[in-house]
Amino acid sequence: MSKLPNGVVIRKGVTDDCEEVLRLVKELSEYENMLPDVKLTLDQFREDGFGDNLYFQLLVAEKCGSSDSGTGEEKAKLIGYALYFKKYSTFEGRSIYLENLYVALAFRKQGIGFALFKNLAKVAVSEKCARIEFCCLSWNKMAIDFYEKIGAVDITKQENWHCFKILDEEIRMLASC
Amino acid sequence: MSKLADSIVIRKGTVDDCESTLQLIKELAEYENMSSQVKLTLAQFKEDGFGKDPYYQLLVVANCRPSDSGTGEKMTKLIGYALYFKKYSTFEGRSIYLEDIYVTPAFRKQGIGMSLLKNLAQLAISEKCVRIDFCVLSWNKSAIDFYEKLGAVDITKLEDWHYFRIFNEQIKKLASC
Repeated sequence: MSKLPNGVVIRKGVTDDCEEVLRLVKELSEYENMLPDVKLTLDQFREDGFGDNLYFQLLVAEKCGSSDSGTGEEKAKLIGYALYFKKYSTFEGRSIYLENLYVALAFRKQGIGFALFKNLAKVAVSEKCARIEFCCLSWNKMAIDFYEKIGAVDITKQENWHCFKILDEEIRMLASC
Repeated sequence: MSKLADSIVIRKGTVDDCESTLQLIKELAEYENMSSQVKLTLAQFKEDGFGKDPYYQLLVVANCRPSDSGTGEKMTKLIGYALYFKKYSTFEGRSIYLEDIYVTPAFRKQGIGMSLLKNLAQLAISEKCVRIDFCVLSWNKSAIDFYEKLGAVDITKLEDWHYFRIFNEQIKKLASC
């Protein structure tokens, strides 16, 4: 596996990362042609990741700041993230669901996505999770090639699983029927 | 919505329900032609639902009927369940993932599946969850018709999402590479 580029670290996300991560979430949604679907606010995102009732965990890829006498100091900046949470499989038990994995365009092909996945795999092993699951858009060939190289299987193609969602309006109708 | 029969109760699952629920999980896996994939043990299932670090929550359907002994005693047996957990969407925020919903064949078409989903929708609202996600096998037409009638959307068909999985062996390789 290629070493991370100089000045890039992968670490657990903290509350102060939320604003930048949300910016990266929107970049990813734009790439997926789904930016209007992002309704999350910064306050809610912070509360849900770092409040009393946790819904997700974060790994972030950070490019450390540098000081250069010619151009002045450069702040540290987040260039990628993985957002995940516990899941359960009635076949195999404890699992992890990877909701998002993203590396900013300028930092691709440097082993950062792979490093994020490796860190996630270590979390899975330490938590005794037998599966990591995620969704990917079927037209995103580059991402699919990457995932399949690390051993992921497309179980929509292989086993005919389809993903379904029920949104807020229909949930409310169902709850009150 | 049809009323449930008097003998049928939907309630939160407890640790004492685990054995019967695991039996129903195996019934569902058999229907899906996936029995060989069920590796979960009863001890692990109990720990993961009711131990220090719960991975899932349960709703169960109990049917109470007179025992065969003729003594007037009543017997309770589980005839359905819904297994779910918190999820997070970077589009909408707090969500629920419905891993399994199942009603034994002898008790179908009595409004029990609908009641389970109604209970789940009420839980979603009380937890401020704005989305329920789940997977269905594409050949399971009767289940798909049922879900679509309630407003669920097949986002594999509509938005091209595919479901991917990394299994235990690959996770360990990735963690140690």
